[in-house]
Amino acid sequence: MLKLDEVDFTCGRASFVDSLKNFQEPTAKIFVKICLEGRIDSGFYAQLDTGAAWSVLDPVIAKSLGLIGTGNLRTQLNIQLNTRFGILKGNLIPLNVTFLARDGQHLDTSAPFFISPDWPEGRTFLGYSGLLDSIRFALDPQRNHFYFGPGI
Amino acid sequence: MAQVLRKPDPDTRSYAERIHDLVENDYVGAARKLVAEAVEQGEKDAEFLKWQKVLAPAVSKVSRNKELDSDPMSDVNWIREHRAEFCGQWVALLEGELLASSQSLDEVMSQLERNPVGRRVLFHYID
Repeated sequence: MLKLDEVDFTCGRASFVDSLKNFQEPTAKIFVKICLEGRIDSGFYAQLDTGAAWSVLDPVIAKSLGLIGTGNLRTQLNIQLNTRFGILKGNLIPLNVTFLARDGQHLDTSAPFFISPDWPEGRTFLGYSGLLDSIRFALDPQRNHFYFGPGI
Repeated sequence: MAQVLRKPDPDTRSYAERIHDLVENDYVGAARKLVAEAVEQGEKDAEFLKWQKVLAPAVSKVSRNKELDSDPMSDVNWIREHRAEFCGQWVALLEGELLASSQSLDEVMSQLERNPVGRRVLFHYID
């Protein structure tokens, strides 16, 4: 794994995907595989977005986790955010996130996610505040490697 | 003529209301500062305590789960090759093999619950 001043900088390495659409998109993105709430056997891709204040969870995945609808007893706060799809109403809910490693070790962390039933299906973003700013990460764009480790 | 400088009116809103406003405007750092200030002031309002929980600094640590992830390229290649065929559907993939598909993620998960594979599955929506 990566070291800084002979001390571990990261604990795991994953391969990121820069397109899931057969290169139809104009610019490359960075999709990394994660799982939520300790469901280590169920992974999905989420897009890194260092320019976003908040992480946003696909509402369909949120529903499958029981985060939308009745009976959700988690801490949540109603807010509305100005997004690329307009001003959306939703909830901010803290969730456990695991970055999945191909080499080294997975990384567990937590972050608040914005969940709105009006957000388009199939899109999950990992934003900067409270998620990416709480871990260490590095990219090797030539090899499509995403390195990650616990924050200090 | 010089104008009399007027002190701005103090913000009389509750901490929870002010934090809510900052969060909705993406001032996350300022919201966290206000949470810290409110804690120092001994704020106990129920709505504020929710904000304190949601905005608490994340603790990241090495996972105890040791089973490593597989090479993603076989799944990614499958998605690229079959995207037209499965557009608008959720798929469950394992090392480049389709395990289940449906327009409903719940249905895909139900199919896997009926036939568990005991391995890490990729769930993906093809749009």
